[in-house]
Amino acid sequence: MPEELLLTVRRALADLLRQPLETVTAATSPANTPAWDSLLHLNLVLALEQRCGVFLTPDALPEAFTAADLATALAARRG
Amino acid sequence: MNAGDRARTAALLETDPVAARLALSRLWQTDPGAATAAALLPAVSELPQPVTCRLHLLRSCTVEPLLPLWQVAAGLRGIALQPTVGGYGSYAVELLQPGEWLAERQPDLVWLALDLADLAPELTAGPAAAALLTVAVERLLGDLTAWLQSLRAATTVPLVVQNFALPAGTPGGLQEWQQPLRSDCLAELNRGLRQLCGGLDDCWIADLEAVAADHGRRGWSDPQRRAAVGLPWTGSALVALAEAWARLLQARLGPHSKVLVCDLDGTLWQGVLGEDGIAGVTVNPPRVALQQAIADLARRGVLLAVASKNDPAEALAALDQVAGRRLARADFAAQRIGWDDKASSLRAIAAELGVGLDSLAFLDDHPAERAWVRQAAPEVHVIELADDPWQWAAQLRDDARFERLRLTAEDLARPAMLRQQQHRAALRDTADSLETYYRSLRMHARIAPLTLTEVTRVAQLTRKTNQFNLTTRRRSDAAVAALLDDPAWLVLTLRLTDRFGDSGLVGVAILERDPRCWRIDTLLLSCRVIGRTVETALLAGVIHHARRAGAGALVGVFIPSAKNEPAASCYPAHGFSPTAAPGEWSLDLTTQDLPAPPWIEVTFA
Repeated sequence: MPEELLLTVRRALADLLRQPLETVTAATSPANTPAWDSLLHLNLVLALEQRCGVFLTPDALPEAFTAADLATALAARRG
Repeated sequence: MNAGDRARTAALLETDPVAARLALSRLWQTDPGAATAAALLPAVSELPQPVTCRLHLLRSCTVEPLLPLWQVAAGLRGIALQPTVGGYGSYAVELLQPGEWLAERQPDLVWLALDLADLAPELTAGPAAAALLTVAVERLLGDLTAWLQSLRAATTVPLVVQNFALPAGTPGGLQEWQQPLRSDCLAELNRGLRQLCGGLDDCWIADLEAVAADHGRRGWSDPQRRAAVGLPWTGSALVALAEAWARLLQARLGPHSKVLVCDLDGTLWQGVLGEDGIAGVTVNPPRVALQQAIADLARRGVLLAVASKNDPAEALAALDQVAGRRLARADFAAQRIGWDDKASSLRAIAAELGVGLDSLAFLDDHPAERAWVRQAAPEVHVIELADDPWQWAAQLRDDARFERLRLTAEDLARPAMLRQQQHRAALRDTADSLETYYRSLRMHARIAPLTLTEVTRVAQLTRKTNQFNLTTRRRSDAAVAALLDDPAWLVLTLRLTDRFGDSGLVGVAILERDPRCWRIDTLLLSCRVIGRTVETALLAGVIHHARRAGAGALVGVFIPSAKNEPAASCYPAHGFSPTAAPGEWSLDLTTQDLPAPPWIEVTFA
């Protein structure tokens, strides 16, 4: 997983959660972050679409995923 | 938004809100989108905002991701946008039965966001027969007519209706290039919707089709996401919509600028006059484009002025000889050329033109001058010019401070009227007494009952006048039009001309006709005629009509506002006596008379 993409995911999540960047890690996930609801996830996908130029579809992610999984899925989409 | 940006904006919000707005605008422009909107929104919400708008959105699709972007884009323009959203897909019921949500939400504006794929899918996908498409357009226009008329009957708040965007690609194949049935039908639908909205009071089109075309149709929508979560737009489309919709809100609600004050050296021309001389300054191509943009604003009724640190004679000569590629010296209604600081020049220009500082926009290439004006005259809208002069014309055109959704004849005539005003001021300064000044103006007032063609102007005056407005009762076009046919009411208008020209419709009296006693609901004058005793002529006109109808008394009320102090003494100054009710004044028409001033020739129609 490229570190640069993980940093992009963490930054977008930090902005959306309005939290400092250091509190969002590779292990941050919907399961351990109550504010990560369906609307926040939609906003995250939109933000990553703009910042990375990659469309993420729902089937691109495993059922239980983390910020690191998102970065991996982005890398796979980029090819 | 990193920790440093967060700390800097928090500090600026405490100490310098103007600089905070600029810093937040830069952060937004660097990376506009969902994440940045979420990060900026708390700080944007703390900016002091001249306009607040409770906006209720009726929708057929998912709109929630648009809202924070829209709030940030609007907030950076001076609008505190407070959106609420109707039920998903329940727009038809909400439009036909709006009573409950109107009472609950109390919106300042209602916005209709209906997606074509929800309303008429046959217009968005696959090949279809011409008859089928035509039927779909007719059905949809019929539905929209019923929905909008129902809503308009229930409320007078402004309505905004999104039109419909052509889908990307050619779903019917390349034969659509030869027979563009779908795009023709969609154009017909949007034309019909425009006519429908044009026939309703205070109802406006949000041109989704234009925004989509400007953005590019590919990348506007993602069908998979549309199917999965009902969101018809991509991330970049949402940014384009947020900016366009914030711009439309500003055009309707403000804040607005009436005057553009331009610097000369480095701005209207390249070079520094004091160092390079007239021969050394030039109007290069980006500045020709800028001058064209400025001239276009002037044609839309924006007043122009100059604030320049220069030798006055030399600068005016340069304006005549060099600058005039698109502009001439006479285009600038006020000129402050000298060695005063720019904030002082702006204050002098505002005073000369009779407008508030908050009506001025300031155009200057020099960052230090812009920073000084922001600090010393924070009411002025300072246009933050890019480093590259090629961007300036577009920046000016994109600045919604100058936008209006509809221009009245009075808006277009504003520069000419202002020149007349300056001639009057010069006459007043040289007259040996006020009476001499009034007589020399050779004023003629025509006072007549309201006609249908005057409804928009009268409603506009009820909404815009503050200083000489005794009750500040705002009315929509429809509310004024309703008075036309109501025998219990009479609306009188006053038109004024003088030796310098026609000031147009500048006075309004809205009267409630009780057989014995007439009540003055509204008495107002446009600020352009305050101080010329025109109110006395208007009251004389009211009395003329009241007496003719057999009324024995005239009753008026003064309701103080933050701005109508100039009208506070109107009733006592004209012989009205206070009644027992607070702020109420009465004139006995059986014993008292109130003639028009001898220096105003009055015609009653």
